[in-house]
Amino acid sequence: MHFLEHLSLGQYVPAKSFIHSLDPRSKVLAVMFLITSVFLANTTLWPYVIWFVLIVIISSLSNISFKTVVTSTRPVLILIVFTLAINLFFADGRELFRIAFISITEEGLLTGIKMGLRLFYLVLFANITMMTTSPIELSDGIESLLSPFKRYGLPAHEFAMMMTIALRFIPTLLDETDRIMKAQLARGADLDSGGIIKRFKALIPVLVPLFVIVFQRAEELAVAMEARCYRGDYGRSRMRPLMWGVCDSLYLSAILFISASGVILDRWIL
Amino acid sequence: MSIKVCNVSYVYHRDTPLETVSLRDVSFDVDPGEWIAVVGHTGSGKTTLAQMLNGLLFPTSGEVVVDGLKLYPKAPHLKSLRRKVGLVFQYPEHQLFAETVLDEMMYAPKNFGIPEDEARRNIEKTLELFDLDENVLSKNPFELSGGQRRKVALASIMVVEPDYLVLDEPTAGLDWKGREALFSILEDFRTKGTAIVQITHDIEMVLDHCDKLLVLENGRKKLWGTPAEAIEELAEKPVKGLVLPEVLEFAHSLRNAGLNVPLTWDEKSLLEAIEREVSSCIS
Ligand SMILES: Nc1ncnc2c1ncn2[C@@H]1O[C@H](COP(=O)(O)OP(=O)(O)O)[C@@H](O)[C@H]1O
Ligand SMILES: [Mg+2]
Repeated sequence: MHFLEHLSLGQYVPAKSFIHSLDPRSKVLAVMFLITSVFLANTTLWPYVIWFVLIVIISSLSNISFKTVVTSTRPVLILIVFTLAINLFFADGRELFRIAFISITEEGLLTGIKMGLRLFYLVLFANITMMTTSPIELSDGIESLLSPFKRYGLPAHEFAMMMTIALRFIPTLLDETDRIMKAQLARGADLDSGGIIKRFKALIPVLVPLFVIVFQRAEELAVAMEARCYRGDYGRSRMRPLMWGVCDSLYLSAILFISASGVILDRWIL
Repeated sequence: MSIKVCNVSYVYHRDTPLETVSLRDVSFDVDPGEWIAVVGHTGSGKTTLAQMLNGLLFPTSGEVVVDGLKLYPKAPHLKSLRRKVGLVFQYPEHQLFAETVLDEMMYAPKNFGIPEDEARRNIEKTLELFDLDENVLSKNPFELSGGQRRKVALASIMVVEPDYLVLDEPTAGLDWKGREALFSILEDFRTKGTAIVQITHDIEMVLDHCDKLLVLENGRKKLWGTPAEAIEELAEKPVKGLVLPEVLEFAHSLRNAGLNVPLTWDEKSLLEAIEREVSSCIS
């Protein structure tokens, strides 16, 4: 009942900062560069230190404390730990030590740490980007990046619009869910006890009103869009056109440089 | 036997950049059979306060005590307290889910472990109070009219006969007739001994009904007193976003202009006072 207490993963935090003011396109491209490079490097652990420093610097430029960024990634931590564990227990190689019948190998340990870190960095960096980019900006950026593929039939605008609407309604629906859950709790509902079947049954009084509201909202939105003559991409102008500035070029070059040097270091030098 | 709210504060999203303090050091009591109005501008913390009376939110600091029992997360007595303190959310018709009105009305009694035959009797009584027909029981709540849906939603909470009833903006979206009907139902409950905590942003609506007013401004207790005491203060020191009744504003201006009239929100008594003043001036 308190799931709104914590910041959810990737929730936009309005603020003024260098990272907030960047063009969404440079931020999205930066995420793609960094993630690609993290997955390309796989011999040593050194590049991971560089990337970590980079992520800390970016988060300090974003006016959001590193602690907040890390705590809001909590939901995926379990996935990361799981990845680590899988690699740790099931890799062949030189045995370091044994716990009962499980042998821990050097290779397993190294791959586990690397895979875990990769996932962690991916989530961390994507998280900083989402926290500093409003959903509208984000989907505008993605639309613009995808638009070269329109001529091959990719519905870039529709895709971005769907994303905007989905992102826009996630907080609203979370609020509604919270409200309906509380309303049913006030009527004596028991939402967190009993077996799976009992719990699922207890959820029906939450899910039914939620679906009703979702459909209602969807219909209202469709009518409102139609009333304002929405007709897709055709002839559409923007209130805030995306502006690529010097800062964006600088930011993207810096990320590109550091990511690339990480990979080069890893593959050819160390 | 009462609800005691002592120095309660509440912070949303604590220790994050989105931290919002929604209540600061609020205290008041609700005694049996009393009608309390909680008044304040949007965002003044009314809904947060309502959820605390029912153990849906717990104070960041301070405490809420219902009939001698303190509310805290996972308290063993939480469920029985929720039966004692009924909470009606804003737009309660949004919480309807059952296929028939009967199932809807049975939901709370079942949850609270009330025997079926007793629940049945309560449902009949409640329907009568709400002026709803018996044959509504077999209908689907979604095919009722808006006003009737609101009634069913309210009835489905009242059927467990809570001692305290907390209503968050219960008149939102109702027309004048619906509002009058709702007030007469609430008055009925009060005469039966139910305490009422009504949350609203419209002070004019509750002045005639409530025993005490709690005025909130930005999460702080601005005022706590009887309607007569409250309007005396509010007329002198307006609270942001609270619109006083026009008659009251007029009486206040007259008084400032030197006329000896009472500060009242009732047209008739103001008119009489003015007539008295005017005739004494002439004679
Ligand atoms: N779930 C929530 N998460 C974060 N802030 C909230 C939440 N609910 C309310 N608030 C904030 O708390 C303050 C009081 O809100 P609320 O109790 O809803 O006031 P009211 O009902 O008087 O309009 C507002 O500033 C509001 O933005
Ligand atoms: Mg409210």
